[in-house]
Amino acid sequence: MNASDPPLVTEFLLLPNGQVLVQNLTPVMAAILLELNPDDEAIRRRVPGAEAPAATEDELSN
Amino acid sequence: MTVATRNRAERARENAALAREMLGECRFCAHDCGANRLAGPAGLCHAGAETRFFGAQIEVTDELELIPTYAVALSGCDLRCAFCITGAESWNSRAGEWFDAGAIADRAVAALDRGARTVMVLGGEPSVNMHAALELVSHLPGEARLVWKTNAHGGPQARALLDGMFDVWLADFKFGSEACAQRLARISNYVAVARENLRWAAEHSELIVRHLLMPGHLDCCWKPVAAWLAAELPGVKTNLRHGFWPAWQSRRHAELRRTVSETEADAALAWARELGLNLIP
Repeated sequence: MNASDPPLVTEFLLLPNGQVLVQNLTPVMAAILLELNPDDEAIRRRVPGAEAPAATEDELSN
Repeated sequence: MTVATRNRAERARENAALAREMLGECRFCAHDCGANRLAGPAGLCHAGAETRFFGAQIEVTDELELIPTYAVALSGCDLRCAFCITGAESWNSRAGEWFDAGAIADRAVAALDRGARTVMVLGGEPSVNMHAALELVSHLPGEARLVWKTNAHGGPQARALLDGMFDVWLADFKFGSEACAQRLARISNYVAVARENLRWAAEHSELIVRHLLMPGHLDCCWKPVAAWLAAELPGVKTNLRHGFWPAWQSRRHAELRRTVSETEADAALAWARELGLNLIP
């Protein structure tokens, strides 16, 4: 990002049940959310370059 | 599908000039009020001739086939949805920064070079700033995939100006009931206008229909919207979103003071599947 670029903005709504709603999700923030919850496939699909987690031995044997 | 791109920039430049002249008797949206916006802020949108914007960045919030997108949010809207998640900027055409189409186009091109798949023009409602939106298109490369994110409340003049300008229309179908549209967005004849725009968009571009499921509006809004889509636009890509966020003035309406329950979301999805809708993430 250049010094002249405007700041990036993402808004969150954290619900009591732990669910997170997001508005204006940027790739950087999506990557952070994925770090926080690597099992969240909805976020994973929105992170450029993120690959599916390696299959477990159980999954490979099925 | 890619819009015939050969002369898009040139046609956009012509249409932008035409749109600017039309501000003298603005009929871009279906309010059809004919206000003279060249004289200053006017009409139900309270917008003048100057365009401002409140967001321009790469985002990954939208439909998977469109992201990453460089999203440009123009200030101002012709609707007054109580639950608008960007109400402060959308309702105020003077919010944000002055819009320089050339400079924003440069940023969009840089974003495309960094991996953005599309450039999305949204609002508020972008047709309020038709002249500026088309000027932006005139600065963008012909091969760029452009998305028009709209509330589907445009009028015939807007549609004529937009013909061939955007590859994808990402259009809301917000309400299935005139009563809900009137109560929550202060708008009359919404359903008929939205249907007219969706039919047109399906014939003139790629179309993705988006419905934000609202708490308590499964039967009155989603079910009729879904039934109409299934009957009239079979196979149309549909994104059912259930992440309702009780923002802006939602608190003025009792049913909008909460998020969508899991039960409601499941029922909405079941209805879509029963109708055979082409749901996309």
